Amino acid sequence: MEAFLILLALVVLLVLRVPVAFAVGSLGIVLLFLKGLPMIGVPQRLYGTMDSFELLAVPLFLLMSNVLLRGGVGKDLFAAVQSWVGHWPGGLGAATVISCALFSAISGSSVATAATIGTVAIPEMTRRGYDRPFVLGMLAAGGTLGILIPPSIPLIIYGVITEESIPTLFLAGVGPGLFLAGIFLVYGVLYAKLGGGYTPLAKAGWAERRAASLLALPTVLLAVVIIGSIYTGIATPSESAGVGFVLALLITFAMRRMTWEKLREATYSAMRTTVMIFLIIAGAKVFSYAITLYLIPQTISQVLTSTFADAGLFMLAVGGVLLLIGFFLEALSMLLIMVPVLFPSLEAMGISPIWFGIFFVVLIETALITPPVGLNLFVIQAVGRARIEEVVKGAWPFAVMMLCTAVLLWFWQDLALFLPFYF
Amino acid sequence: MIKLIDTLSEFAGKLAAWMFFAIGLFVTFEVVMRYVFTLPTIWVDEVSRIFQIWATFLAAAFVLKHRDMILIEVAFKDPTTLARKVVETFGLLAILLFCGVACWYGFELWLKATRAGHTTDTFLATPKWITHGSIWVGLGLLFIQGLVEILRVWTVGIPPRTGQGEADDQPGGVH
Repeated sequence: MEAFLILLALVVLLVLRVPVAFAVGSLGIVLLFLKGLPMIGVPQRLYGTMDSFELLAVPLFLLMSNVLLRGGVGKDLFAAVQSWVGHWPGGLGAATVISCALFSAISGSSVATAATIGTVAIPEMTRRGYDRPFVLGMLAAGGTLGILIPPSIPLIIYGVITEESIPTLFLAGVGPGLFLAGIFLVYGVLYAKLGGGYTPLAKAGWAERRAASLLALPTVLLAVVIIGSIYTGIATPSESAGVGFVLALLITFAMRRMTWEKLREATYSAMRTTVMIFLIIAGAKVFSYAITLYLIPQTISQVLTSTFADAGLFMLAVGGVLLLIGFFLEALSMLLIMVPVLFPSLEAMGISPIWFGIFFVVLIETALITPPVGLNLFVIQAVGRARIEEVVKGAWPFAVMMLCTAVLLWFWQDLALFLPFYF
Repeated sequence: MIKLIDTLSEFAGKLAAWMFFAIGLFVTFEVVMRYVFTLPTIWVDEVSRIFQIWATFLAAAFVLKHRDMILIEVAFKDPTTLARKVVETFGLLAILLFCGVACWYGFELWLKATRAGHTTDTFLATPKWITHGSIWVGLGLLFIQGLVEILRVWTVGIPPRTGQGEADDQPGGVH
C-alpha cells in the first residue's frame, strides 16, 4: 500500500509539471520527513553522487558530440559512406544507417547522433525522392543507435547506479547495436526496392571514394581511439571521453570548421544537457535513499518474485511496464527511477545485470521514438522541419523492430553477453 | 534586484560550462602525462571531481532560468491559463522545498567540516569547506532564482521553454 501511494504521489507531481529532478527529490525529502529520518543524508547524497570520476564521461562525451556536430563532421561521414554504398538499391537509406552506427561509436547520445546525421541525410534523401515519413523515421531510429553502440550515456549512468563495470556494459551493447543497425539497413533497402520510390545514385568512382573517405578518416580514427583506448586499458571511459573531446577540438580547428562562436555554443549546450541529467541523478539519489529506508525496492522485489516464479514471465511483466512507462516518462528519468526499484529482483530471478542494462536501453530506444514524449521524434521534427505526425508515421516500423529485438534478446541472451564474457 | 539575480545565475551557468570544458583538458593532460611522460599527476582526479560538483550545482539556477529542466508535458500545456500559472508555481515551490532542505543541511555539514578543519582523504588533502560549499552555494542560488521565477510567473507570465521540447536547441541531447 505504501509503495502504491508513493508511486501515485510521484505520478501526480510529474503530471503537475514538477521538473523530474525535483519531483523525485522533493518526494524523497517528504518521505524522509514523514518517518522522522535524518535530513543530513540529503546533502551527503547530493555531494556523494556528483563526486564521481565515472560520471565525468557524461559532460565530456556531450562536449565532444557538440563540437563534432557544430564542426559539420556529419557531412563528411555521410558523404564517405554514401560514396561506397549510395548506388545500392535504397543506398542512401543504407548510408544513413551506417553513418548513424559510425557516429554512435563516437557519440554516447541518441539526440546528437540523430541531429548530426539528420542535418545532412534528410535533405539528401528527400531530394532523391525517398518517401519523407520513411526518411524521418529512419533518422529518428538511427539516432537511437547512439545509446546502444558504445560509448553510451545511459549505460554510463546505469553502470554508476548499479555499480556494474561500464566497459563490460559497453561491450554488451555492441552485438544488439550492430544487430539493430543491420535490420534497419535491410528494412531500408527492402522498403526502397519494394516501392518506396527513389532516384538511384550513380556509382562513385575510386577517386571520389578516396577523397570522401580521406575527409571522414579523422572521425573514424576518433572512434577507433575512443573505443580502442577503453578496451586496451589505456584509458577509463571518462579519460577516453576527455581525449576524444580534445581530439574533436583539434580535428575541427585543423579543418577550419570551428569558430569561437561555435565553440561557445557547443560548450554552453553541453553544460545545459549535463546539468539537466545530473540534477535528475541527484534528485533520484535522494528518492532512492528514501524508498530504500521505506524498504520499497525490497517489497516490490518480494511481490514480483512471489508472483512470477518464472524469470521469463517476470521479464515479460517488467518489459510491459517499462514499455508503458516509456510512453509517458522521459527516458533518462525512466532509467533513474525504475532501475533502483527493479534491481534487487534481478538477482533473485537469476537475471544478469549486464544483460538487463542492455535490455533496458533497447526499451529506452523504443521510448525515444514513440509519442508523446519520444525525444528523437522532436529532434527530427526540428532538424527536418517536419510535422510530428510525419515523423511518427515513419518511426513506428522501427519501434516494432526494436521491440522484436528486446524479445529476441531474452531468447538469445548471448547477443549481448557473448562479447563481454567470451572476450 | 531581479536583474542582479538573473545576471548572477547567467554568470554562474557560463562559468560552469567552462569548468566542464576545463575538465576535458585536465583529463587529457593526465592521459598524456601518464602514457607519454610516465608521470601521472596527483591532482587531475580530485580537481576534476571538485570542478564537476561545483559546476553542476552552480549551473542549476541557469538551467531553471532558461526553463531547461526536464519535465513531463502531458497536461496544463497552455501557458496563458490561470491553472497553468498555479501548477507552475507549485513546481517552483517543490524546487524551493528541495533546495531549502539541501541548502540548510548542506550549510550545517559545511560549517561542521570547516570548524573541524576536515580535509579530503587524498594526496591533495583539499579542505572540505571548498568541496562542501558547492551544495549550499549552488542550491542557494537556485533557491533565490526559484523565488524570482515565481514572481515572474505572476508578473510577466511564464517564460518559454528552451529545453527538451525544442530539440534543435539541444544538439548535445539528453540521451
